[in-house]
Amino acid sequence: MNFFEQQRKNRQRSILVLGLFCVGVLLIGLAVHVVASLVAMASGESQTIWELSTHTKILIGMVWLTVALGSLFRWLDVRGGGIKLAQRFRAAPVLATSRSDADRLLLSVVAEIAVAAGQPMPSVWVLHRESTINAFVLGRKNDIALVVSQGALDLLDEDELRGIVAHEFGHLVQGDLPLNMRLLIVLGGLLAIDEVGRVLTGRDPQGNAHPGVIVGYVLCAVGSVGVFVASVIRAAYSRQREYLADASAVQFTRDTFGIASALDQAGSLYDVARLESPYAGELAHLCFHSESAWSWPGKALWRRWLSSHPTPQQRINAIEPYFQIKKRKRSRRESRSQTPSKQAPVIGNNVRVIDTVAELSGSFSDRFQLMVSDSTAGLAVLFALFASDQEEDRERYLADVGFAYNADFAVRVKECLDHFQVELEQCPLAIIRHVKPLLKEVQPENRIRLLRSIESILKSCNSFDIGSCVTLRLLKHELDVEFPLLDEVVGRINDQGELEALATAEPAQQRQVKQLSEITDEIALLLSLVVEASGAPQEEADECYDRVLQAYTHEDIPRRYANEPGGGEAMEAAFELLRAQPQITRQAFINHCAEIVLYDGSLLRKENILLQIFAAALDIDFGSAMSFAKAA
Amino acid sequence: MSTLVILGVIGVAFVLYGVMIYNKLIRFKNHFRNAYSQIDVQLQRRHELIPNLVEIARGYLKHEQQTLVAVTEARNAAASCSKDAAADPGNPGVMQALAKAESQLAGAMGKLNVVMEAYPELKADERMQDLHDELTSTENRVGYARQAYSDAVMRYNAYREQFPPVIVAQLFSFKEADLFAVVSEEIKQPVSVSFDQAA
Repeated sequence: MNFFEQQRKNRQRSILVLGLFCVGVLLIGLAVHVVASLVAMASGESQTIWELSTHTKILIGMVWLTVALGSLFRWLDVRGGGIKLAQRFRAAPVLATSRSDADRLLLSVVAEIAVAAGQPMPSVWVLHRESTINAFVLGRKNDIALVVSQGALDLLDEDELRGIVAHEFGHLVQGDLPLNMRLLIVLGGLLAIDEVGRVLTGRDPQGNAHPGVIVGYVLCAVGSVGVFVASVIRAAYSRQREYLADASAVQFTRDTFGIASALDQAGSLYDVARLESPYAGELAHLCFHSESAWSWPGKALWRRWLSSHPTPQQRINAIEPYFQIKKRKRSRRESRSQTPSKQAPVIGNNVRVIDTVAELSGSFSDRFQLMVSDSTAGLAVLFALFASDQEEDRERYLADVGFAYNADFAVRVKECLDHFQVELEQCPLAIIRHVKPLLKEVQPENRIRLLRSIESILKSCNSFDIGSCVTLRLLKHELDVEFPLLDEVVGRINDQGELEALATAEPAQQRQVKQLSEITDEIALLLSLVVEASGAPQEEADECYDRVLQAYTHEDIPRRYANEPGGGEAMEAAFELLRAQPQITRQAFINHCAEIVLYDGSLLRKENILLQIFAAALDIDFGSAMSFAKAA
Repeated sequence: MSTLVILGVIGVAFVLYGVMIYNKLIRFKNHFRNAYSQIDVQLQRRHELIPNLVEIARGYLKHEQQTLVAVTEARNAAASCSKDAAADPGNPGVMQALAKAESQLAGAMGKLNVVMEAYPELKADERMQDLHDELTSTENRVGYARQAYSDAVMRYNAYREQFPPVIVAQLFSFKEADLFAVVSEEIKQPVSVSFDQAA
């Protein structure tokens, strides 16, 4: 892509469109004048169009005053530095001290592109609730905020992330922020003409029409047409600027494939971009990707005209015309060089490890897919997931569910238990992932309530073992519930092995420890529980536990048991602490769990699933854990 | 009389246009000068990170002192050369010395990386991971800074050589910017790769 040339072309086109916009606004002004003087002529006050009586002058003055006021209010509404605006969107700042891998990658990518673009480093924010791929810039000259969606962090690799950050910097460098804000404000003013018209077509308190009712209707018409035309022009301008930002992005990264690939992914995501805020409309032009572009084919023509972004396919064609070919080449290259450990390894007694979700969901019966297709069914299946195997416990669990929600729901849960026995047992991970999009419509507050009620029901039934605890954690993670709210460390395990509440809850992020020896109690607890869950006989279990504990500490920490009092909270606290540690620690822990489970030389399906859930809840790639265990 | 007025107006318009061109030339010139200093900023950052790396590695690499010493010396040489270059940018001898020092530093770092591969505890050390990430990011930033510099120089030169600005440029002696001042010297020096442990 010859990006300098592209930039020149796009800049010229956008200036042209801007010129059209100004002409359009002037024409509207002229139309208002003409209407006013026509009315004056009709009422005999003046002879020609250009001669204006005092009445018409006052009327025209009032209209323009309304326009000015409309613009002023809009300006007051959208001004504000980047930081304030980002906070309005409920984005969370990314701190330089964060220990999360994704955060640090994002910060270094933004810093690098800032150098490439010759811009100062903006403040970086993340929209945790947004699981689509999007990014936008906000703010004024020395107070710029760059906001990225959680979906972008999760789904994009480094090159693609670089691409979308560079696109946003492209907007910055080309000066789109102030100009688009101004266009917005003028549009707000034009809307005011419409308002004036509406007022004039209304009725006064006595129920009589205003004298200027015809003027009112005409003004409404002029206003609406004016607003429509201005919006179309503004959208066209915005599309040109998008192409320009793409070209600038290529200039900064010198890499067309990354951006094209990010566009490809953004365009093919199932979810529609939904920024949850009343101000989202204004930002559409600064976003990376926009809904109306996605829903392009088959929609009315007028929708296309009003779309602020070109379609992802159009943009990919502009950036990298041979994208599909390159993509196929790359995926072929990658699948050829895939290491054996990534594919399903065979361990020991021909027990095959299922470690891809795709494989699992392939085994979903058609019936499951049909029946579990809305949010209530999804909820019912989730509850069914946590029901215990024992008949008695199950009865009590269902009764509690019925009490917490209603009897109908409990019946649905029972139905799920009866019909989907196989799926519930064999692929809980895939079920959670299948249900996740169904629960998107549920409000975050209700999601939190759902999780809390599952937790309390399980605890009251005393079936809160390590499997359920970890599955619940995984569920929290998958449902995109905002972490800072829930993941607070509220207690630590003290020397006597009891759970001690902290004076103030700390965010889990800050509890990363410098040395492993500080969290040995927690790790010992978790290891003991895993050992117990693996169902080995007492002696063997002790031996296994001691062996694995050696890797962490030379202390002699006695083995713990699941049915100890206060075990549930201690287990949760330990798990949360472990989750806050860096990748290497978590990886090592999973490897040791794999070792424990394989100690008796065979891998039961139940154990396999437990391991997978553990790995997923701790954000670890399962395949590598299994290959390690195999080698050991 | 009116022709004089018209001519006067046209003359003023030309002068104003000339002023606009002059200002734009000045803007582009400052832009590429700033981009040049960015490269220096990032190189310095790299120089500052290396002693930290050596400190952390020292605890683990007790038997690899020579490698560490080589890295420290190379880093000090490169830092002092870049100070000289900042003081006297046009001097070819100084630029060559800088390029040589940087390539020697790159060689010493390469050797250190090879050595570190054999010490997995060192790699797993969290501070080492942080530093490694920082160094990688800095290398990227050096690359991007150079890229931004070339882009800025290209924009300045291209504008300077176009038709109306070329007159203003000649008038006020705006010189052509050197695209390769920083880049070429370093490229010309071969990167020394040596697997010899005794540095």
